Amino acid sequence: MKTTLLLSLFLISMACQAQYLSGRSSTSFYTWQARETTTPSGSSTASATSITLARFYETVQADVLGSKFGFNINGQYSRDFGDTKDDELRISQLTFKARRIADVADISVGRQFVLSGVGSGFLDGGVMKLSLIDGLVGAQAFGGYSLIDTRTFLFKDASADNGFYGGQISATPFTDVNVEFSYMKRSLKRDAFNLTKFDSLFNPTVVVMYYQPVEQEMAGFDLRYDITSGTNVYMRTDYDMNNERVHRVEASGRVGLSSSLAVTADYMYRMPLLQYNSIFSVFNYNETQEAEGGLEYEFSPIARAYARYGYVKYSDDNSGRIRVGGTYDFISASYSSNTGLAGDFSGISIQAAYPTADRKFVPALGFGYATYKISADAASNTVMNANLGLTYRPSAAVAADITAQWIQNPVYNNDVRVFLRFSYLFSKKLSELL
Amino acid sequence: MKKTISVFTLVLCAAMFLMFGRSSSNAGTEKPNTFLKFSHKLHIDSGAECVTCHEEIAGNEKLTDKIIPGHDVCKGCHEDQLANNCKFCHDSDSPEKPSVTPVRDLTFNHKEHIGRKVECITCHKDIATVEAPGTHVAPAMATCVTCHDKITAGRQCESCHKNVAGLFPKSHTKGNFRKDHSRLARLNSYDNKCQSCHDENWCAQCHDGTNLTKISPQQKTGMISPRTLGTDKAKALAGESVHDLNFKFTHAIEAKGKTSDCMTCHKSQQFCNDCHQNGSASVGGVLPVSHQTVGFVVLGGYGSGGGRHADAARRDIEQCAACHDVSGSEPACVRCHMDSDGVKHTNPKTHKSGFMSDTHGDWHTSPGATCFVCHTDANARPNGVSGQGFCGYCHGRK
Repeated sequence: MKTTLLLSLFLISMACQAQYLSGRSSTSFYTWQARETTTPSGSSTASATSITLARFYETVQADVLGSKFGFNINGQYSRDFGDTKDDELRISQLTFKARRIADVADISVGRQFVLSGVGSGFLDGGVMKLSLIDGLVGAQAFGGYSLIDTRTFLFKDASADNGFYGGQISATPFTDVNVEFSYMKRSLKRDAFNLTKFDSLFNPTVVVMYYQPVEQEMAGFDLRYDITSGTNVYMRTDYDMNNERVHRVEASGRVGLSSSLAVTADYMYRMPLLQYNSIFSVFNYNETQEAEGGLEYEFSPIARAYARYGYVKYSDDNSGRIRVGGTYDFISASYSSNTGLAGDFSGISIQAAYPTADRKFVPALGFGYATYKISADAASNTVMNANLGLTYRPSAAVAADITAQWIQNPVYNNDVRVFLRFSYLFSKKLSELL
Repeated sequence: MKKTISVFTLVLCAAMFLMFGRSSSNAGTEKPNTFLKFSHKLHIDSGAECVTCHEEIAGNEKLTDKIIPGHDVCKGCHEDQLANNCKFCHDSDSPEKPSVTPVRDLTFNHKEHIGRKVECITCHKDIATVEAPGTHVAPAMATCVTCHDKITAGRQCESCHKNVAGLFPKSHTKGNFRKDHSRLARLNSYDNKCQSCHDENWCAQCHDGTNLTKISPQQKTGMISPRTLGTDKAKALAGESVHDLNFKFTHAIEAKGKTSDCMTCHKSQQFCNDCHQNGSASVGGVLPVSHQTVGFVVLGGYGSGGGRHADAARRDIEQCAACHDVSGSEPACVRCHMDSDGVKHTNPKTHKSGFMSDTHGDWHTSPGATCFVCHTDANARPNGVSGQGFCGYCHGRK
């Protein structure tokens, strides 16, 4: 029934007004050996074996658009042709749209990624957007079901326990000043679980616990002022309506000291993001505060460098992070370091590509090296990875990629993986196609 | 270690070779022909048609082809003036500079557009007012997208731009754009700005973090996630998904250090459990090292402090919830943090003083209220007896 309904809607939308089909598809293969830990029946000891995986992916993203109606899809099917034969289908977008209603409104129904201030994420439902006063004021309202997994089919999680709705008003009251107010309420159904309860004499009884769905109800406010092209300030506040307290305050700014040099500063106060009905919300816990400062320098339009230092303050501890890096044309390199409560991390990463022969060939390489220690009492480890690839693009619409990856980490001493991809983009008037 | 350094040096050298061994992506930026004198305005005012001079334009398929008319074409009308007077068009009597066709990072097919009955003026809007030669006769992208709106005509970057790797606006290179893009998105910039280049599927290509990919019944991984992006960004070409290939080993540091906001994409109640399995190594999960050390949990009841796990929870409880607050599983904390007798101070301390004392919460009406997971004495229920057990914590103990 659902399939019929969807198909009908699709055909109706296409027949009515659809004019143009555009999109991309990619066919990929990824093969590697994976470590599998198994515990044979009757044994208490886990043993490690190796399995070969050769995974195939077909990814399709397409838009069929007309002036009044539209249809979008983004999905991926994958299957392992190696040892497991596992397969999965993911649908991250499947929407039908009515566009430019009275020249001010768009309505879309189906699975979609919502961006609405404090409310963002996947939704199975409807979104209505209004664009008023030449786009200076925007409003949107959405409602439907929050999505647990894009592997599920449309509206599989449709239940009042998975409700997700909200709205936003955004405006440009002055040139280069943007503000938004938003609200969202999201529930997420939880599966029941077995709980061993004890009475006052410590007699155990196993009971099935049915949770109420976990909830978030938030309101958000954002303000941004782009003073010049290189100087701006931003402020954000999220208010937790369930717990009746500020959940997050963020303030940041970037000041261009010259055409090449800029400084940045960020501050954030954040209470942990725990759903209201989660058992963890009843514990005694504290906020974290974070400050980050940075410098940026632009040597030329294609050469830039940055350095940032961030400090995180917990109730009784702290951690720090350093990021230094730069880009030159198609090359980027960075150094990262973490210290303190977060753990110790020190690593470099280099990525480079080299479009040549009018972009027909694009060789690429990457390298990463890091030493880390998860916590003060953990052992120190090293991880490394490298990759070498080549893209061949005989035309703007067709490309073939091959990438070899090499990985070394505490599990894999010397792991080589191969990734192959063929991609194709299409763009055609339906009248020319049919 | 020697091997590591050798590999790193090799890669660095290769990167340096690439860096300095090639011309930049901006090579070929158009420069106007300032040594020529030519007025489109004057010619159009005189009644000249575009094809009068650009006579081969209807067959032109590439911007790299020479589409500026040569002497022979000009002589068609200006034979006398050109006979012995180079300065009629050139800035000197002995012009040494040939007319050049700029190298452009764009693909454009005049033949196809003219074949679709697109008038020259549709794209070259201001041509009738242009009085000097130069590249300003080329239309701005804003003009292109009036037709390339995905309804009248397609709008994929590669259709026009050759160099997709270097194709991003200045805003993407300023500040920490990884952070900044989420701020812009919250301000509804997608509708106003982002969608001129990105379609609605763009966000999901990175943000579909609803679950890890299952690679076997026992194992899931944050493995490569092939995308349909047509960009030539090095990281995308490396075949990496959102995170680095070894991110599995270092993600805890990023999460604890608040470098990333994991829950922007992942729902901890479903996601973390794929590997951590409610923190229990006995079911094949990954037990953090900190949990295996002496003193992590102290079973001393109320006032004992609970050991280091209590400190960790007060400091950053999201870390606990990431593994233990899992749909369909018993939260590990209720094994100790329970109240089966309804008597204060006989069990591990859980709440802040005065917790919920001024709230008329759902425990008054719903047997499924979260409170009753831990509070299990006979009076822990809606419509319980005032003054007794659970109810007595607030309602006048007798």
